Amino acid sequence: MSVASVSATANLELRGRQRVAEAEAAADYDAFFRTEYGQVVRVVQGVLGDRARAEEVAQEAFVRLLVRWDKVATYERPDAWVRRVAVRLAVRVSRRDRMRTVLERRVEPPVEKQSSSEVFRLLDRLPRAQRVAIVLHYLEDRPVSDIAAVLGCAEVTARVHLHRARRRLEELLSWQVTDG
Amino acid sequence: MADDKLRREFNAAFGSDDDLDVDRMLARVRGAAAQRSRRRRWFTAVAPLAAAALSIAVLLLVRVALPDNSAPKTLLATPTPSVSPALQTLHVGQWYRHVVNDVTTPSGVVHVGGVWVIRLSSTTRGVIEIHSSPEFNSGALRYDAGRDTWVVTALTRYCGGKSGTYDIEERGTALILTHVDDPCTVRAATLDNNVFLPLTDPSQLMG
Repeated sequence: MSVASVSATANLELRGRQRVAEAEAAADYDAFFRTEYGQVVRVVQGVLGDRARAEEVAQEAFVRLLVRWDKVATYERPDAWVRRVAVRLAVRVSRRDRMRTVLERRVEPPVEKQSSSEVFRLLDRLPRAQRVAIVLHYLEDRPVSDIAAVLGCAEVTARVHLHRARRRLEELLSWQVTDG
Repeated sequence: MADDKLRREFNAAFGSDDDLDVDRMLARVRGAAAQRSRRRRWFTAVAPLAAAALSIAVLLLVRVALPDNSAPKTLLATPTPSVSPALQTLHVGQWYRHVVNDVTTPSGVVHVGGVWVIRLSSTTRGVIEIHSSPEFNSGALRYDAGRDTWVVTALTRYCGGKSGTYDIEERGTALILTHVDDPCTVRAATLDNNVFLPLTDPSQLMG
C-alpha cells in the first residue's frame, strides 16, 4: 500500500470520526434542550412575567448555547450556563421595556400579560435578583449554590437575596414563610 | 407549611410544560444557530478584506487631503509687495547719460560733469556709476515697496550721506528718473527728469 493511499485512508477515518462526534454532540444537545427548555422558559417567565416573551428569550439563550455547544458541553453545569444567559437576556429585555418612553407606551395599545396571576403580580414587586432567586428556589427547587451560579454572585449573596425575597413575600401575602 | 403553599402557588401560576412544542422550538433554535454560524463564517472571511479596503481608502483620503511635502513650497507667509506700474515695465539693463552742466549751489559751483551710468541688476536693484571724478564714486538704486519709489544714494559723500527718492520709468528704450524727494539739490538737479539712453556699446562711455 502506497503512502498516498495510507494518508487518504487516515483522512477518511478522521472525517468519519468527526461526523460521529458531531452527531453525538447534536444528540446531546437535543437531549439537553428537551430536558431544560421548559424549565428555562419558566425561569424567564418569572423574571418577565410574560410567557410569550419568555419563550423568545429562552430560544435566544439556547441559540447561543448551540453556537458554543462544543465548549459549554464540557462545563460542569451547562444547565447553569444557559439559565444564566437566559436570565441576563431577560433582565436586559426588562430594562429595555422600562426605558421605553411614555410616548411609546401611549402609542402602543396596552398589552395584557398572559400570566397575570397573583404570583406574577407579587414577583413584579420584587427586585430582579430576588425574583430570580425565588423563582429558582420555588419553581425548580434549586439549591443556593445553583442560584448563585445563575445570578453570578457569591452563595452568601444569593442566600441574602432569597431570604429578603421570602420576607417580602411574607409581608405581601401575610403568610408565614420559613427559610428552608 | 406556607412554604409549600407558596410552592404550589408558583407551580399553578407557571403552569406545566405540556403546552410547549419542544420539537418545533428545537428546529427553530437549530435554524437560527445555523444562520448565525453562516453569518459568522462570512464575516470572518470578509472582515479582513473590508478592513484592508477601508485602510486603503483612508490612506488615499489622507494623501488627497494633506499637501504633498515633496512638492516645492510657495512662500505665502509674507505678502508680495505691490509693484508700481512703472516698476513692472522696468527691464534689467544699463543706461547712460553724458552730464555736461555744472550745478550752481549757494556754496559755489559743483562740477558733476561726466558719464553717469545706471545698471539695473534686477527690477528692484541696481548701481549708479559716475565716471567723472573719483570723488563721487558710485551709488546704489533700490526699490522701496513701502513708499513705492526708488531710493538713490549717488553722490552720498557730497550729499552728507543722505539719500533721495525718485520714480524711474522706461519710455521706449530710455530711462527717466523723476525727483520725488531729495534733500541734496546737486543730485536732484543732475537726475531729475533727465533721459538716460541704453548703453549698448563701450564707446558710448567715451567723451
